[in-house]
Amino acid sequence: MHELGIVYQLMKTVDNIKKEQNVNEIASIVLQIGEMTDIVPRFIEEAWKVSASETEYKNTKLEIEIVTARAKCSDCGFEDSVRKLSFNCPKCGKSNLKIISGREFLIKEITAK
Amino acid sequence: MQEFKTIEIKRSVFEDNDREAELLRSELKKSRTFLLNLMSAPGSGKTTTLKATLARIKDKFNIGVMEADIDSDVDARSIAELGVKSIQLHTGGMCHLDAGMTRQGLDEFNASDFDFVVLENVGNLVCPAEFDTGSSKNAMILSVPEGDDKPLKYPLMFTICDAVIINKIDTKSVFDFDDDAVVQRIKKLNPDCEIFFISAKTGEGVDSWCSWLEKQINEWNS
Repeated sequence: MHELGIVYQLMKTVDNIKKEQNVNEIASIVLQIGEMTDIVPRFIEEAWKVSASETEYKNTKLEIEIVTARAKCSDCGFEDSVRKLSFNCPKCGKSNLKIISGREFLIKEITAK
Repeated sequence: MQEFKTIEIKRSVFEDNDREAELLRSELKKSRTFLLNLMSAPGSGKTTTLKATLARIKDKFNIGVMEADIDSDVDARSIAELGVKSIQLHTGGMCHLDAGMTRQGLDEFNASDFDFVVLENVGNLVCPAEFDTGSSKNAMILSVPEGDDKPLKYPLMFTICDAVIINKIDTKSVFDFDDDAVVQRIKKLNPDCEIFFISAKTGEGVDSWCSWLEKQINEWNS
């Protein structure tokens, strides 16, 4: 249900992109979904199939790229995936970590004519 | 025949809604209408809290209430009994309101005539957090029976709120609810968030929430 609402918003955004880019047919859309969003890629794919089936996007392929959650220590600059870093920096031991990627939910590119 | 080409977009899926929300917010500012987006899980006492709030401030402002639900009009009727104008918005199965739907509701309601409009969003802690409605301020209600761990489970909701109301404090003797832990968890996500402990049923704490709200309305409309 959550992903369905997001897919409706995705379609609205794609409608706008279509007008702005002056294209008529979209063959594929590449989405980037960060690991730290609460969006489940598999449900986005399912919701897209259902929602697009009765629209002009019924033949549009949806590709999803997962963006790894990474964090950087604000004290010593050490950088790694959030899972490995946990709550403290393995290098300096402090907990001043800043998320630098993993919150994205982007339309990366479209293939269209 | 035209060939397919790949076009780089790099645009947030929510960007179009965010832009629509910003536009709505600037129009509301111009028309001196404060819009409060009130969110919570189902059963947190949203309508009861709203009624307790309206009873205290309804003579100070010209108020309208928009009740968003997937179906039924029980909330709108219950608000109308207080003598406050209300309309029911049906989301047609959707679990949240976006800026476009909020605008439609406001237009239908002639909302620019009001000083203060409450949007009672769909009962849900996930989707409403993702869609900016164009509101002046966001508030959410967390009730004691839901537990003090909710900021850990639904971090985005607690991050986007200007105020969190902890409701049903009259039931604390029955539930394990740690006031300090909940405050600490909310402040870690959102240090500027205001937190109010209330019981909409007994009225405890409701005045302090109402004075914060009145201040926000007056500042927005000044």
